[in-house]
Amino acid sequence: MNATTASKGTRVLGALALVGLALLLLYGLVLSPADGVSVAQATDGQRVGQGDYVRIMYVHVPTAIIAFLAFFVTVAGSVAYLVRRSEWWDVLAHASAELGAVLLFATLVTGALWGEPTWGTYWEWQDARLTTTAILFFLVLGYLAVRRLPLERDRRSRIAAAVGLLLGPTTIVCHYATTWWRTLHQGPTISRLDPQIEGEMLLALMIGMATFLVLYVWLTLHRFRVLWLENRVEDLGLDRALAERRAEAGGAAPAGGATPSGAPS
Amino acid sequence: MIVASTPWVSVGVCYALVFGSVGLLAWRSRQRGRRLAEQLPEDQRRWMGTSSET
Repeated sequence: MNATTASKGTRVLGALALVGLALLLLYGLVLSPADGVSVAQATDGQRVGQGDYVRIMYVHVPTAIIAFLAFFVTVAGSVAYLVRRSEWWDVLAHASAELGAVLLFATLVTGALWGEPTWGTYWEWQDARLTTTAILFFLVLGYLAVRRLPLERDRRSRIAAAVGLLLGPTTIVCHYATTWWRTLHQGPTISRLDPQIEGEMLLALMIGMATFLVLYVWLTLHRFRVLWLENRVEDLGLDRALAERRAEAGGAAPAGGATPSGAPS
Repeated sequence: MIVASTPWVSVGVCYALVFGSVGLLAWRSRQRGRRLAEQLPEDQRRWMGTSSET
C-alpha cells in the first residue's frame, strides 16, 4: 500500500505552488528589470542602484513575511491549546513553527548574501532588524527543541505553548524594528498603501508572496499530518507496551496469585 | 567571497538555497509520512491517501 500524507487538496496546492515557482523564476530572474547597475559595475553615466542583486528581494521579502505569518499561527495555536487542550491546535502550532524556522533561516541567509554587496557586510549586530531576526530564529529553534523533550505529551505541549507565546511579541518587535530604530536595514517596501517599487518589480514581488503563501499552506498541511501520525505511533507504542507488561505480569504470576518479585503491582 | 564575483552568483545561491531548503523539507515530510504510515494499522491512517486515489 502506497500511503502518503497527500490528499486531493494538497495535490492541488502542490500544483499551484509549482506554477507559482515557475512564474517566480520567470519574473524574478528574466522579465523584471535590474535596478540600474551595482556600484562595482557602474561606469560613467549609468544609474547606480542594486543592479541584479535586487532579484534577491523576490525570495528574501516573501520568506520573511510568510515566516512572520507562520509564527503568528504558532502563537494562535499555542493560545488555543492552552485554552482548549486540543491536540489539533497543538499540532498546528508545531507544524507552523517548523515551516517558519525553515523560511526564517532562508531569510537570514539570503539577507546576508544581499547585504554584502549592498551594505558591504554580511552581518551587523548593531542593526536592530538583523539582531531581532536572529533572536527570533534562536527562539523558534528553542521552541522546536522543547517539542523534542522526552516528557509526557501534555506536559511537553504545555511548555511548548508557553514558549510559543513568546514568538508573538518577538515577531512584532522584529517587524517594527526598522520603524522604531534607525537601522542599516531598509524600512518597509510594500507594507504601505504607497509601495516603494512598481511595475514588473512589484509584480515579481507579489508573485513571490503568493507563491510562498501557497507553499506555506501546502507544507503546513503535510507537516501537520506527519506530526499527527507521530502522535498516533507514539500512542500505539504505549498501548503495545502496556499490553506486553500486562501479558508478562499475567503469564509470570504463580498459581497462588502472589505478585512475583520485581513485577509492577 | 562567493558573492563578490558577479551578482548572478549571489542571486543563484539565494534561489537555490531557498528552493532547496523548502524542497528538502517537502521530501523529508513525504518520506517520514510513509515510514510512520507503515507502522500504523489502516484504520488509524486518518490522513492517508493511497496510490489508488490518484
